[in-house]
Amino acid sequence: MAAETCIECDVAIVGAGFAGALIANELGKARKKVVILEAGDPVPPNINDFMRRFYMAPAKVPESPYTPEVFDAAGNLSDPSKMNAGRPTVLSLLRKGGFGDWTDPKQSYLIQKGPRPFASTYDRLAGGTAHWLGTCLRFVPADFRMKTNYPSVPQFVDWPIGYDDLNDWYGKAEAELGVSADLEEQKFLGIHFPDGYKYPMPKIPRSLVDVAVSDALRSLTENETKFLEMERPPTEIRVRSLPAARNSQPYKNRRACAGNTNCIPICPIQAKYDPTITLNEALETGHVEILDRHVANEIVVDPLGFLAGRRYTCYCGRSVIGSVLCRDCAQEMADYFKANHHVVIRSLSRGL
Amino acid sequence: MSHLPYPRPKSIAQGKKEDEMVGAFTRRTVLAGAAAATAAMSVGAVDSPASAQTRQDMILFVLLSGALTGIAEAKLAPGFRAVPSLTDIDLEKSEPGSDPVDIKQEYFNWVNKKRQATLRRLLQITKDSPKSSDRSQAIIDKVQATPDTKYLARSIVLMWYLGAWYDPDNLRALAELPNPPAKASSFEVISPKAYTQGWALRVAQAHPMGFSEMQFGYWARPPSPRTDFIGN
Repeated sequence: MAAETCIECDVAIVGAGFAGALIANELGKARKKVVILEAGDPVPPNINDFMRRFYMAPAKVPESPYTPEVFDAAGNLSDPSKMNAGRPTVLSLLRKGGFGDWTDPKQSYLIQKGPRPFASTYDRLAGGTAHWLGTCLRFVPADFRMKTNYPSVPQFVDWPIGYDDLNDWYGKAEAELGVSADLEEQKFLGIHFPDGYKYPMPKIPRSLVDVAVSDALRSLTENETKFLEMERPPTEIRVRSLPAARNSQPYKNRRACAGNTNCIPICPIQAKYDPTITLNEALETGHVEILDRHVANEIVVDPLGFLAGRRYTCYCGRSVIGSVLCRDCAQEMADYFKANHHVVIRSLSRGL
Repeated sequence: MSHLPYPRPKSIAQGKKEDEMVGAFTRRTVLAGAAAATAAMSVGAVDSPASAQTRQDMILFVLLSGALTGIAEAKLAPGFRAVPSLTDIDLEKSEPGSDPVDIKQEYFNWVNKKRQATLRRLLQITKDSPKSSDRSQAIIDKVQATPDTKYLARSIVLMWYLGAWYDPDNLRALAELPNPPAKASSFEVISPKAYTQGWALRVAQAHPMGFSEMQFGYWARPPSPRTDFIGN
């Protein structure tokens, strides 16, 4: 899109990741006009191409199914400065290894100067949640009061909100993603649920390994484990099924998990939630548009237009490094909202 | 899918005819979300069979593969049936297999394209091996007699187990050179279908990552015995 082109919409969202997808879908259902700027490729109608890429990949790592391809035909890492919107690969973590060198900016998308590399990856379309495990643990109430609970640790902060503020929202998120869990099992360390709450699906059955570990824990004695200084007998440790955004029965037109053992990098039957599901739903509302291969590199806020709630204008054009600019934009917007006494919502993105 | 490496529940598995299995496969493919199957199958198109290949060649290729991999022929090539004759297997009456996945054809084409002459020798060795309980050992012994046949046989074993191609010259370099070049350990995945049909994890009573033919909750039960997977 040329820089002079102007698109008018109610809400512009930078990045078609987990949060962007959910927000776009809710707004689309409310008939708001939404434009998502996404640095990566278009949302595919199904995951067949992702599966083909995964099956053909010689090294099956978290990002294997997804684009852009960062290796050239000879198997060498492409120069990130020659790609529009590149990304890191965990394969370059092996320093001087067979797959590239994370210390070389001609090979590594992330410029890293520390002694250790960023030991993960993140993706464009659908974000890192394209290849997540589906783990949907709620925070426990104490997580929101870390400074109060552990005053000796200067890094800890208290949240401006607490568990009870989020209780209903957890429920909405669990319904959207389709979480399988056992309510009674999840009531630990103060986690509680609204009256009558039910997880969308029953828990995922425990694996043989789960059962073996559970049995082993029960058979341990105080004497065998006192070196751990746990202050309570290990026999009290319970092995629970992880709440997972993975279908234990058909849910929202998606199948039950068939144990493909492949949540990361990709569930071949989409029994595990990923944001392309919500993105496709959002597109189906008819009010959401995704501009793929668009990197937001400047956000121009029109205060009058925004405050009037009618117009939000953004310009996009030259591609640089999307994620860094997104972070800058987030700060800029945060400052703006703060100055205007609006609620500030920041996304907690693993990649930034 | 008729080549399931694990037993179906007895009540369902018994008495199934091949065409019913084909039907099951089609339904599975059509079911919403069966992307694994469709991705694997649709992209798995291969070159047209080499003109030289006969039905007999395919029977010999499956017999050779069974001997080299230790996996039952009817598991490698569902529907495979060796009809005995007075002296040996009747290659005219035997059935090379009829499964819709047909990975054997893709593998035959692949090897035939890469190493046609040596493949011919391997098939001849298979044909010349006597009918007996130690047919497999006889094939293995003869295959090892020359480096060409020995290392192509290794490539074929790796192909069946991993769905990937390790060039026989590279395998020879790895085995025989004191300092093999780094590229000697390189390989290529033959096709999406080949990856999904690899035997390495089925021998371990499991399945390739991202291609489960099992059902919800199987992880809570002990796996079926290995013989159910590999047929031997």
